[in-house]
Amino acid sequence: MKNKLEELRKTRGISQEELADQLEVSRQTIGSLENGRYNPSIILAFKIARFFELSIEEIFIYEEEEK
Amino acid sequence: MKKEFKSYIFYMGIAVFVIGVLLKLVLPENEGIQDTLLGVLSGFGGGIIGVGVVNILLKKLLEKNPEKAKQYEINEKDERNITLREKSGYATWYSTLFILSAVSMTFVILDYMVAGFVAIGAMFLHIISFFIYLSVYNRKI
Repeated sequence: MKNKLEELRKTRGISQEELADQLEVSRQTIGSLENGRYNPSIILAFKIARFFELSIEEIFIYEEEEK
Repeated sequence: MKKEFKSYIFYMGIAVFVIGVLLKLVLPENEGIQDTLLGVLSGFGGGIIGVGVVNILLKKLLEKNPEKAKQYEINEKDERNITLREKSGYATWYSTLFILSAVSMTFVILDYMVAGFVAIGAMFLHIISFFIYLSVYNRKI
């Protein structure tokens, strides 16, 4: 799943470590989320959305898989 | 729950070790079965005590350093780390099954039938435990 996490984080001028501290996850989780290797749980998606004061859909882009 | 269990590991190790020594003293002499029991139980006990000591030392270390303690807790609860542990556990289940089947076949080929049957039994227990956990988690989730 694609997302705008890196873009949003850089716009706010915060490091991966700072974002990880705020969300209480490891820095590696932020890295994996940013490059799309890991999809967050619904709880973490809400935490991220609340942190950036946006909706989940504004951060995470869900594309249906081609059949 | 997990924290509570960790704090008991050291005492569990001591209990297993003491049971091993007591069985050696109490059981009548019977073709070296006492020595085997003492060896197995004191070995297991020693191993568990080792894990308990590491947990106690880690707890003391983290108590002195709140910054490290916070990072440790984050890493323990981090959802990606939990996913990694679950995936590793799942992969380990298959590798254990493969190892047990290889060991069983080796014992049978070498004509160590008792050891072969024990290994095959362990393999079946391994498979059965999978379905038991599947049923338990099916009710929980």
